[in-house]
Amino acid sequence: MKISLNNSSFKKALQISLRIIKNNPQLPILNNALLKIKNNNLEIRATDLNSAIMVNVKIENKEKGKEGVYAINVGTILEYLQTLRDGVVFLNFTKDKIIVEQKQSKASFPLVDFNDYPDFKIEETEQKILIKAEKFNEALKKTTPSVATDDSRPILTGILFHQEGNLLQLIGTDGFRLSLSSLEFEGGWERDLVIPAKLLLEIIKDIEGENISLGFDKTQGQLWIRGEDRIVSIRILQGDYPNFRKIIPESFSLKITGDKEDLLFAVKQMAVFARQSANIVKWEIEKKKLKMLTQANFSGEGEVSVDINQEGDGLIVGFNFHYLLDFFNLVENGITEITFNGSLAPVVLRNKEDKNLLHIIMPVKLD
Amino acid sequence: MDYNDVWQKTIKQLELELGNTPVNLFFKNTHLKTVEENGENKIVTIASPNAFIKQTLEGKYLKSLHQTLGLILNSQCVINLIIEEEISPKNNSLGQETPLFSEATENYLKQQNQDNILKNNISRGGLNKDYTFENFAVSPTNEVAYAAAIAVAKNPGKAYNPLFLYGDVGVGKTHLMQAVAIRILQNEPETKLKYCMSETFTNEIIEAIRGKNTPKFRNKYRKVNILLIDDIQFIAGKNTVQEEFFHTFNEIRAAGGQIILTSDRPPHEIKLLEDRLRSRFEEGLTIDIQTPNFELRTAILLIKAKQMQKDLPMDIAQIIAKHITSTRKLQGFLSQVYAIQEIKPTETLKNIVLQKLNQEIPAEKNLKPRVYINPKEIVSGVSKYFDLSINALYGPKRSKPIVVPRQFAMYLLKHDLNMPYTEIGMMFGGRDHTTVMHAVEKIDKLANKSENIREEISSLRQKIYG
Repeated sequence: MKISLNNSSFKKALQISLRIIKNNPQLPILNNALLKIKNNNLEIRATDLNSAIMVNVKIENKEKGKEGVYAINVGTILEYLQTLRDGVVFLNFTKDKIIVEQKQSKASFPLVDFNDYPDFKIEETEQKILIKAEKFNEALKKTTPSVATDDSRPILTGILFHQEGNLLQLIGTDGFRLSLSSLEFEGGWERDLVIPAKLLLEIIKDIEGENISLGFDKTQGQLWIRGEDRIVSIRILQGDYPNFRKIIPESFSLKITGDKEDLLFAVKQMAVFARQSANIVKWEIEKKKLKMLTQANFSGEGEVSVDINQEGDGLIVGFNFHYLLDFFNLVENGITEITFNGSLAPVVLRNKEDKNLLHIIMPVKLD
Repeated sequence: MDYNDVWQKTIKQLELELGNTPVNLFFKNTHLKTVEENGENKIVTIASPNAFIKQTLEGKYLKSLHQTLGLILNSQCVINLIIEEEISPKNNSLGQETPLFSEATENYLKQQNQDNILKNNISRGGLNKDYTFENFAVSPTNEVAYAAAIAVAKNPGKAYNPLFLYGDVGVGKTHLMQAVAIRILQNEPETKLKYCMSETFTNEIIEAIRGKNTPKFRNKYRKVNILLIDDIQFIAGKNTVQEEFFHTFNEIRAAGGQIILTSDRPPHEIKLLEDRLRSRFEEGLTIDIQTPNFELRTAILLIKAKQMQKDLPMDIAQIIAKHITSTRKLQGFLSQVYAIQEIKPTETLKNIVLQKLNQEIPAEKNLKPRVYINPKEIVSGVSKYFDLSINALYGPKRSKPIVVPRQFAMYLLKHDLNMPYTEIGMMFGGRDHTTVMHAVEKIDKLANKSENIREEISSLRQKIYG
């Protein structure tokens, strides 16, 4: 069977499939992707038994009406394709190999027995929601930095999808800070779901199409997402997500506002010294000044003052500078509003240019 | 039947048939959940950990599974595949506290939130947060009033209604009245409460009548649970105000609300007060608060010092209390003493007090400026009063929050120091003398029209010269 297709779209599709494949190196058959050719469409499928992806690529089929299914190892063929030029490549599938040709280059790769490859279907439920791909990506990017990266509490490696009124909220936390992004959507979200964050971000990255649709397949416990070029299915995380509403303060005893760039600048300065002293930056808020300082250690010490607007009594509070840096690096430039409830309660950070993001950081106890 | 045993046997058999790889992949994490009899058949429920394994089992291995289980269970089998993931206890985050998600954080936040609500309600009600029962010193001169106030706070609307407190200036009427309000808010944060001077009440009625929106005014005052009016004697002689207050009073009391009033004299001594109001005032409890005696003044001083987070030894407190009889003055005196102490840290507190008392005793009560006051002092006083920088006042900005204080400063320089317009203009960054004239005229006009502006000017003067 002979087909031709664009090298760059082929490469891109294989790369996307690799994002799933690389999760499961211990099962040899899953190192392969399944290529299904039907009419003028090539479908590349990959799974790690928890998640699955199907990417579609347009092709020209020399033998109209002929269909075929093949399994190949993605790693080597992708490496080879990357050495070829952009433009058309020709694929010729024989009984036991696939021959790739472009101009004067030619290579062949062995086919794998696809009968061992697990069957999978991705069920798209009728109940689904529509969101703008761009907004979704942005919300994910702003939520993910707060998500736990270690496995000590697996549920916290996920992002909580929660509907609040007419907004879909994405919540990520590692137990020290929390991000909450809101975005508009069409349709109704059925229930709270926790989706593995890292995988979701990777699998959604560079998705094509303006709108994407999402739904939850209850019977299988899978979230499905469809874009123009791909459809993915992700196993949701099981377990109880902490009740985030309880730790979002309803009021505040102190509010400060300041320029984000000034604040970022100051935190960066303090980071130089804080790294050596338990990551702690001390904030002293008094009379419309925010003074940041670090404890003296062998690498030195620093302090810096930032002009702010202050509403409420002054306060001394400690932070892990990493969390501050993550937040200030994340948000747009503009006025940042920070509200406190004493030195031991979660601190709420917001940016006026970035109304869809709410960030919470738990302060550190100072000695 | 031991399901696990049956399943292990099945897996072994399947391994022989299908080989290691697929069995490891698809059967090892799968388990036998139940076997139920159904006539001649057995319904076997098999749980796989996720959809893809289930789909593969269904698509590829159902036949082998069917045969093998049939042999092992020695019966015809109906196979029912389900998805069931075992949740590891690790995944259950409850019970695993993190700094952000812990009971301590939740409780702390809850407490803080209540405090914030109280603080907001106190300031929304126009109350002073320092006027609490805790900060109120009790002596025989005011213990009856104190006991009555406590009773009203405990049982608003029921104990004594209205509570009518009277006494001279500075005896603590306002403090006690607000303490009741704060205690009620502490117990019932949702209480609707209104505190005001009778002057404010009067002005608002006049405004409402002029603006033709009396219903709004009525809503504001008649729908509250607690109404506190300071210096009620000032409504005497104002008929419309008394009329309005009469209805307000009745409506609140009929709805079970509490009313607390203060005055400088008892109801029967307030001249030009309508009889129906007088009789209503006397229906509740009327209590006289006496001028504080020496012991009470000493106690007040100690409380004030504590609020200012300063140390005040008993002997010094007594010296002050002996010489200063007005309670209002006690606080001012104390702040001045501590201000001096900051400038002269070497001086003993006792010396400062004694020196200050010497100056104070023949003190000038008039608030006219001292003869040699410096124009800069006026500007700096204005800047402090409005919480603006001096440079902002001198500077070129013409936004409203700066312009008005600047005009006040010009007004005072003209009226109190009689500085020439041109000189004032020079002082403010070379402004033209007509600008200054305009400013002074404007404040003059406003002062003629509005009581608020007059008050503003007099408290400005107090701040600068007093």
